Amino acid sequence: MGLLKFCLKRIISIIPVLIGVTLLTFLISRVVVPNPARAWAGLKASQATVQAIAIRYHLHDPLYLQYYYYLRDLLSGDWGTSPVNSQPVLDNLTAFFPATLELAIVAIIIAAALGIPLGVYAAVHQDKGIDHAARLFSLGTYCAPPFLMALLMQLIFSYWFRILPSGGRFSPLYPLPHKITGLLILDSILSGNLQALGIALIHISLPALSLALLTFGLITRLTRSSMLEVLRQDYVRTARAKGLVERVVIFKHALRNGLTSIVTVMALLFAFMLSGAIVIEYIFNWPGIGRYAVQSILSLDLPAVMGTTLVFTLIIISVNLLADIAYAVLDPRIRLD
Amino acid sequence: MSEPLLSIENVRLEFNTEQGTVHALRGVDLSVGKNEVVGLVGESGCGKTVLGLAVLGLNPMPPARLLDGSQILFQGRNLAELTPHELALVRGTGISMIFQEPATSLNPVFTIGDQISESIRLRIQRQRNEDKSTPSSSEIDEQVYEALRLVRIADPERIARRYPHELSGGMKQRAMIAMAMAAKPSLLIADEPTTALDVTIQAQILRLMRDLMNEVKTSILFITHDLGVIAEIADRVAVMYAGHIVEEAPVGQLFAEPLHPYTQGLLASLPRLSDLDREIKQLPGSVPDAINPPSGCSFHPRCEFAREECRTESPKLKELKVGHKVACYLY
Amino acid sequence: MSLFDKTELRLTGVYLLRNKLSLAGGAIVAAYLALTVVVTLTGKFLLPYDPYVQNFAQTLLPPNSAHFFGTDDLGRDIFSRVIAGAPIEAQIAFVVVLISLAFGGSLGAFAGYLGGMAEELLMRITDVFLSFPALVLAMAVAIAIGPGLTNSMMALLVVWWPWYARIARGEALAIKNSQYMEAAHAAGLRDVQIVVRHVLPNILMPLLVYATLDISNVILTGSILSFIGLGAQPPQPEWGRMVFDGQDYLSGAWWMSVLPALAIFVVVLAFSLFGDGLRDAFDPKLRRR
Repeated sequence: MGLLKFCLKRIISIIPVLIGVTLLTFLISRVVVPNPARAWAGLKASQATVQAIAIRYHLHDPLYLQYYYYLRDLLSGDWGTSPVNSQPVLDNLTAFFPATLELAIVAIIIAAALGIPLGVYAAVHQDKGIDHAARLFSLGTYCAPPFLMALLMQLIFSYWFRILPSGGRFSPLYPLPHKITGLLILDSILSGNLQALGIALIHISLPALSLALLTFGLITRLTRSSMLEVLRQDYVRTARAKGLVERVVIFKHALRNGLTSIVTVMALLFAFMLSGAIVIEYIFNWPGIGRYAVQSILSLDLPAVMGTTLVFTLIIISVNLLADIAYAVLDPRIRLD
Repeated sequence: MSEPLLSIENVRLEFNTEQGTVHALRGVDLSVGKNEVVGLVGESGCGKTVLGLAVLGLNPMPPARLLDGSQILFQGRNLAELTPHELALVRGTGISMIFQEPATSLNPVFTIGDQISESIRLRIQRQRNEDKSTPSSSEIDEQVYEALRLVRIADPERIARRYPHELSGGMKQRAMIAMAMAAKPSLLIADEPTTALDVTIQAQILRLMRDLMNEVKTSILFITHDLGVIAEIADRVAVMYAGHIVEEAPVGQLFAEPLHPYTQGLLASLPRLSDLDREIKQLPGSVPDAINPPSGCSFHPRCEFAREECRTESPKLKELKVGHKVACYLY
Repeated sequence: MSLFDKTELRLTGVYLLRNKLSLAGGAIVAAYLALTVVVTLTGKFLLPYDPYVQNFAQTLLPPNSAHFFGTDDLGRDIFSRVIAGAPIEAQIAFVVVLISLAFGGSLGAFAGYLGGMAEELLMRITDVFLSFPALVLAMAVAIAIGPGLTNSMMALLVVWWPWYARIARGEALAIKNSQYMEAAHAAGLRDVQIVVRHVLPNILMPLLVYATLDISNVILTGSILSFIGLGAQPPQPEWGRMVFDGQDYLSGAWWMSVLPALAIFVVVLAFSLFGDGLRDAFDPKLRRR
């Protein structure tokens, strides 16, 4: 079918889902909430403000009309105003997004660097000691509540050994690197600012490590089961029969096939990781959308919570789409539809 | 006869399974010479595939075990005693193997060209050249197309870019053969390569393999259960039963004058167009249990000529006429 | 097709016994459930200390022989609070899983069996729900309806039912085309009867196995909800909430946060190990003679 056509088809199939998602968030924010006008105006707002909000968001109109206005607002960038800091929610989200992106990227790199080789090793040495240890360890990290991981890290490395900071993304004592992408590590490298790079790395290490530990168990499990399936295949035997060295057989022929199933669950992985990021960002005071979500909940800021809900969901849907496309790139058989 | 290419002597192999130890190979003697096609024929479960895999050490080694005394002599070395790494060096360029199901035996995520060029690169890497120049990628591509032309694939440039699932069964098998031959092995082990194909395609592939052998001078160990295929392609035939070779002869001889009762039974059970009224005799009984094989000669429970000595000790292969060996107490 | 074929159960039991980790998990699960029942029935009676009574002379004590888990910032014994809080997690988990299974499972079974528009509709709806990360959607619903134990359970229900609907639909599809179903149809049974009497019993097993594994997921998500303040309200000794309350004292009194968090971890791990073993035991491919 060709990769392009496949991509287009996938993108188009997302549209009904997007409509459904916005419909659900709309229903939650207008229908499920007992008093939407009050909730969106803020608990401390005056009666006049509440009424102004009701008019602005057309809260007295029939539902279908309200939904139309809701969608229109979303698409034009008006995601509501936070009653807590009086700023547009979308502005808050875009401000905090790069931090979460950076944390997620570093965490996934660490998790994959640890998890994939361990999964391959466990599969190749199935049922031996290292396999059982790997399985137990990966199950353990998967089952640990994110706050356990984060708090233990903080306790051990920040309070007991005092080698890493207990929170924050950067030190207030030093100037931030010149802003190019919003990702501090990247910006530091691009502007050759080694001091900023060091500070950024020190601050990201604990949160990223906590997040990575949480996720790496899942990656190990997936890689292992995927590889076990692949290693049984005939083409692995053919690769050996050709005279290829075992290392090439496993890492070129087997893993390449195993990766396809790992990629498909990357989306699942990402959702798992985002949920963990919410808690971990809060504990480490990491200025990302996860922390923003928790703070909004603690301050009962409904517009902000709905905004973060929407953003997280959009991220997951995009990751799903990318995973589908990546799968088609990796496995040519899928393109035949 | 000149020095054989591959000499299999007293090869014994067992599998440890939960149900017990499976004695797959119980003292196999076989040899393949230069420029010849040796057919290895037998029913399912007789161990012929296991033997083919055992030569290259491709049986999964935790459950499988080669017993001491097994000798697989190739180019002056006993393959049974090599480490996995040394064995890998023999595979591909020394002895190559093709399998029954081309659909699952080719890697689905690499193009045909990629997979063939792997074999070519391997061969080049192992040759000792005076000038250690690495060929360019276009030179490798040329050799890939050459390999595809060798197996009579017209338009090799287009096929090389294709993925396995885009080719028909016959094409896939040709590609497999091309891949195996690209490393220029001295011996090709073919494990039921035509069984999964249509009859017409089967004939094409067989013809191709015979022509290849004449052109490139690679010997072939052809494993199959189909006597008709053996008649078409083999020079010499070895008949296998329950982990032993029971008869070995030039192909014409075997069909004209089968000596072992099992061979006789096999041939008698073949329908023949020339003699439609002939009653088809069926071999009584069934293939013996590989975990608890019968004592003495494995065939004696089904043999109409069984005698006392057949029950106690397994007969050895004896050369009765020139090139015609049989393992039976009748002789 | 008996639901509880005796040989099946015996083989399953044998397989479970061989897997020591699953057995350990099962033991902890059993102990936890027993604890839950005991605490629910006897209340504060068997606890070393009253979990609600504050004691400002004994604040932030480290674990010792009098207070196994130490005391919190209000002087309450953490060990008693952890034990007292055990039923809360169990309650949330079982209520959410069982109702999701019943509701989602039935919906999925009907949709899968009936096919056509009903199935399409169900698939689209579950697609939308499943696009949300579970925690995020639960958070949104919970904040909309307000904090509290019952409300958090409702929020989790909204999020959890689609999984079971999907699985039930898949299983129903598999059964739909079997000859057994054709026979029932030919015998004149109406669709509703077929689904209730034949489809549902047959899909119950895989759904139950999934549910056992799912309990740990619900406990995890529920604990995060209560960590953020959306679950049971203080002074109720819910574990997630206790972790949150102890954060400010992490450097000085780590036991306030870490021990309840460990409790959650142990219970979740136990359910996971047990569920894993259960699933392997029911999987015919993995079972060996």
